[in-house]
Amino acid sequence: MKTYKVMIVEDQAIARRLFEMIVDNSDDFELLYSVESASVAHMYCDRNCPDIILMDVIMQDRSNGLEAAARIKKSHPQVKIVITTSMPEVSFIDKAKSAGVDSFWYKEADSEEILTVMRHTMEGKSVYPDSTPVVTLGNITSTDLTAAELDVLRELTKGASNVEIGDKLFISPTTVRTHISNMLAKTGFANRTELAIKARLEGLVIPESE
Amino acid sequence: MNIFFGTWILVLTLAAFYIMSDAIQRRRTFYLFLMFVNVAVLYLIVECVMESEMPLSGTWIFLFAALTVIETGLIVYLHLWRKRHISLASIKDGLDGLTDGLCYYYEDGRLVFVKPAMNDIAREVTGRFATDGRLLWDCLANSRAFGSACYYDWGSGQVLGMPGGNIYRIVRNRCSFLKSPAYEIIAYDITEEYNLGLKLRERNERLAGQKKRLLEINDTISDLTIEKEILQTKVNIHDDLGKALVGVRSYISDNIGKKELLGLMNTAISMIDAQKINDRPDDYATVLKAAADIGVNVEITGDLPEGEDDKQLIAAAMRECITNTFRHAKGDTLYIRSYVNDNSEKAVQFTNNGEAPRGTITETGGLSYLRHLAERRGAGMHITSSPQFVLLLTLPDVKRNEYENI
Repeated sequence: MKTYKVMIVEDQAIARRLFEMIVDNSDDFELLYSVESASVAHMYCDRNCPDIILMDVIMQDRSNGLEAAARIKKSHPQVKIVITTSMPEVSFIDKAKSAGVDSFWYKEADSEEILTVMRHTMEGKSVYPDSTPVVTLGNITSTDLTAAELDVLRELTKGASNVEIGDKLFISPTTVRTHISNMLAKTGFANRTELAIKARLEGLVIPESE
Repeated sequence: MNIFFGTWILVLTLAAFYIMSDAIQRRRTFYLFLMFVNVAVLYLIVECVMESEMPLSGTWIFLFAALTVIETGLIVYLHLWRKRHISLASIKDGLDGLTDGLCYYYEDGRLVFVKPAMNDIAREVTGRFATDGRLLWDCLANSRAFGSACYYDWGSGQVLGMPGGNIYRIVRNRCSFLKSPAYEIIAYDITEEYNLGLKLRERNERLAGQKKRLLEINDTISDLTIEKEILQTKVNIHDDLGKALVGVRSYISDNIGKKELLGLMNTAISMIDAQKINDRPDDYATVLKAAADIGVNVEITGDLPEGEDDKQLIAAAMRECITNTFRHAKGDTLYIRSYVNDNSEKAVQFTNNGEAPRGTITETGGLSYLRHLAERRGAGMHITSSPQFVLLLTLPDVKRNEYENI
């Protein structure tokens, strides 16, 4: 039986050990590398390329799994990559697809086991969840916010002004103000700072590192 | 016949003046007066002709027509002239209505014209009303004040603050007056603009503080989120431990086999072991471990920088150079030297063994990203391709504070 070489990229030791055990206990996968930072993932691929990578998104050293995945896919397009995350950040799925990531798995919310996802991925299937996990934000859930509002909210968590948000998203400051007002009305939060902090705490939006 | 002829001319005159007055629009009363004067003159001419029993000659008609044309021309010319010119009184009225200060003076200082607002400024700046334009400008240009006026920095220059709260921006231009060279000093009243600017500056400082706090909160939340994930995983481990304990019970009761029990215990013990691992890797340690894993030795001479920003940059450079060593140079050792250069700057140099680059290195992908990081940090980056690959980073002395320029 063919065994596929797996590289695990996960900054938390416990989660990393869990994945290692899952791989070790399987018959069709073998562990090649287990690294704790996305920043060095490409180095391992350049040296000895795995067949499939389990890649976390947000690392403690601020490296980004999605960026690392895009870089690896560029130089090693044959490698299968499965993004694993517990963050309900809505843009991760789109970014993963843009980066060419093969599959996406939510650590806490996904009912499908990771091994099943890995097997489907090696068969050439692309396994993505239908939607992001729903989180509560004030009086609403995350599904009540529009894509444009979420984009504005993401920039808001960086402390950007309306002008800066407008410049980043190519919309006018008036439109930014309207989106923020709508979000405050929907969530019931008192001000934009509270909105930004609560959204960030729930992991609904995660600002991109500069 | 004469009466008929006279009536005909009268009607023509009335029609002509009506058209002209309509075109000119204003001063209809004046033009109406002119019209009746012309009619009266015409009537007199006709009466004279009638009394003298002489026929009305073409000469009279021609003269009267010429008179009408000349009068009309003069009226139109006067009207257009008035539109293009304004009186000195109108100029003064207009200027007095402005809040700005204004002063004109000859090159020798003799005043031509001073607005009241400028006189107030002169009193605060020179101690008396404006009498000498050169003295006034000398005080303004050199930020001197006699009274309680003071100067503030504003933009690229200074502005004058008067005791009453008005703020003026002073400008001097060359001009001429009656063909003699002269100067004009204009004191623009920018009180509203200045006060708004101060409010804006306060607001920006407040926002900058909020932004800084928000970014700090972001970092805290990131840490909290990671802790939350770790906690959740520990909860899962707790469940696994529970399963293991249940498994022991089941084993004792002969419900499960030894192999299954060992599997459960192994899982639980592995998770407990994993908790002991330090979950916060050091940037350098992560890269050095990766280098060791892929078979690249790293030899470091000197002390690598320990500041967070510097560490990120140096670690990024290490990653690129390690990749370059085994991928392009086919080598197995990276040499890193950290030292202080002749300019007292911290420098870190990267070289490797293996093959030298075949040509000039073009910065794409990882090297391009590294340069972006270096520039953001304010560090210098220099790459040499011959006779061997050398990457040199020079770090700035003072950490750039991204909030200082807001």
